[in-house]
Amino acid sequence: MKTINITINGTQRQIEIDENDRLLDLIREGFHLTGTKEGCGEGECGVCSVLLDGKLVNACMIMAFQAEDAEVITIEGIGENEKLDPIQQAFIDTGAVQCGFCTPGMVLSAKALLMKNPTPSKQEIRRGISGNLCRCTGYEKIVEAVALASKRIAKTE
Amino acid sequence: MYDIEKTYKPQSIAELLEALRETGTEGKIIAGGTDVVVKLREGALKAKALIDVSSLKDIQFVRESAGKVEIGAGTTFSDIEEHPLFEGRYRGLKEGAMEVGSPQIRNAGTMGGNICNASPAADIVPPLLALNAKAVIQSRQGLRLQTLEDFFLGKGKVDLDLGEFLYAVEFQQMTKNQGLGFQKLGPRKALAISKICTAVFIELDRDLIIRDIRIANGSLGPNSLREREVEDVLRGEKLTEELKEKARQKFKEVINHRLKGRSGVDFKEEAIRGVFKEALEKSITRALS
Repeated sequence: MKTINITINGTQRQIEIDENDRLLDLIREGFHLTGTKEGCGEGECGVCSVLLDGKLVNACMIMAFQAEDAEVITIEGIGENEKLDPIQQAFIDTGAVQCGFCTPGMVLSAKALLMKNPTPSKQEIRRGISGNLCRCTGYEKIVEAVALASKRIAKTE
Repeated sequence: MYDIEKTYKPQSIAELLEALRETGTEGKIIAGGTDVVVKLREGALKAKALIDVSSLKDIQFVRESAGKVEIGAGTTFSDIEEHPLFEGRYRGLKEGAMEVGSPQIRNAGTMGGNICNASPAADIVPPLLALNAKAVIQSRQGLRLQTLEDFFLGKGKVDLDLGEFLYAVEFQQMTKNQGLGFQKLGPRKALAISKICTAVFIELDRDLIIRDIRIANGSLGPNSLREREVEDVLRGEKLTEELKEKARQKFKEVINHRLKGRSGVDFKEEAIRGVFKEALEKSITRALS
């Protein structure tokens, strides 16, 4: 066991970790933030996507100790207070959520994409979410949702 | 789950060398984790100590000096994809990086990890082989250079001794009349393990004589490898449609010979013609621009 410092969703925390834990284990079992899911456990499905120092990564392929002194943002850290992020709202409005299991990862992939490229083309959106699998929607609604969020964010700025 | 007892997070080369010395055969370097964590979980890799180099800034760089380009081993695929150097005649490297995994994997995975895991299907390796890159290996004794080609010792094996780590790769700066092309064939766009990928470096003179050519393949052997028999068909000759066809035919024969009796050989020997054609055309366009 070892103690690390980590900033999670804006709050600096000190927590004891097992050297064998992955970042995903720390998020779900250490911080009880269960919005981040475990799917394949080998980087194929993207349901464990989080932002690590601003970069989109799979939390199942990074060891917890590697995130020492880093800043992690999970789905719980998206949006402000009780207000949804425009991406989350767009997912609801376009019907991009069916079973919902892929949604947290999809939203974070969309977030990472729009932070870098606020006005992506359809093709760029598809590339941006290419590391996330969805077995319900056929992706069309998700791509629409990201495009809608992009438009709404542009309007408010 | 597994039995890691100690972890290290070196912040300098000196600290990394010290961690390697301390852990000896029980230590394993981890960078992006995209291969190591999966292997640990599968039990395919055992380590008592993990040494994390993902935040070691000293191995994250792309620099040009004295006619050489150096890429630090800790440079991620996203870093390569976004670096302005890898446009134009170098674009084949960017194309290799862009084909890796998914955005998540490109953000975490590193060039050095892709090399040191020695997967037969490492997308960044064929462009580096085509550039005749050298591995820059560091230890307490200093630096040593090894051609990247000889750095690979077979599937999953590289020429790293105890106490050594891959610091960077370096290759000659490209000049006018030179170009690098890359093409991959996989079953779907994202996350596909390459079925075939090919990189071509070409140098042409004004009369379209091929001054030099280097061709490297991924996924068609135990490691990525140079295709010297195909290179020999092209080197020194004038670039014509007939010559290209002759080279494609030669490539098909080479692959047929190498993969004889394996599944998918019919598909691969035909597919290589198309994949090679695309990579070659890209290299030519870049050499002439």
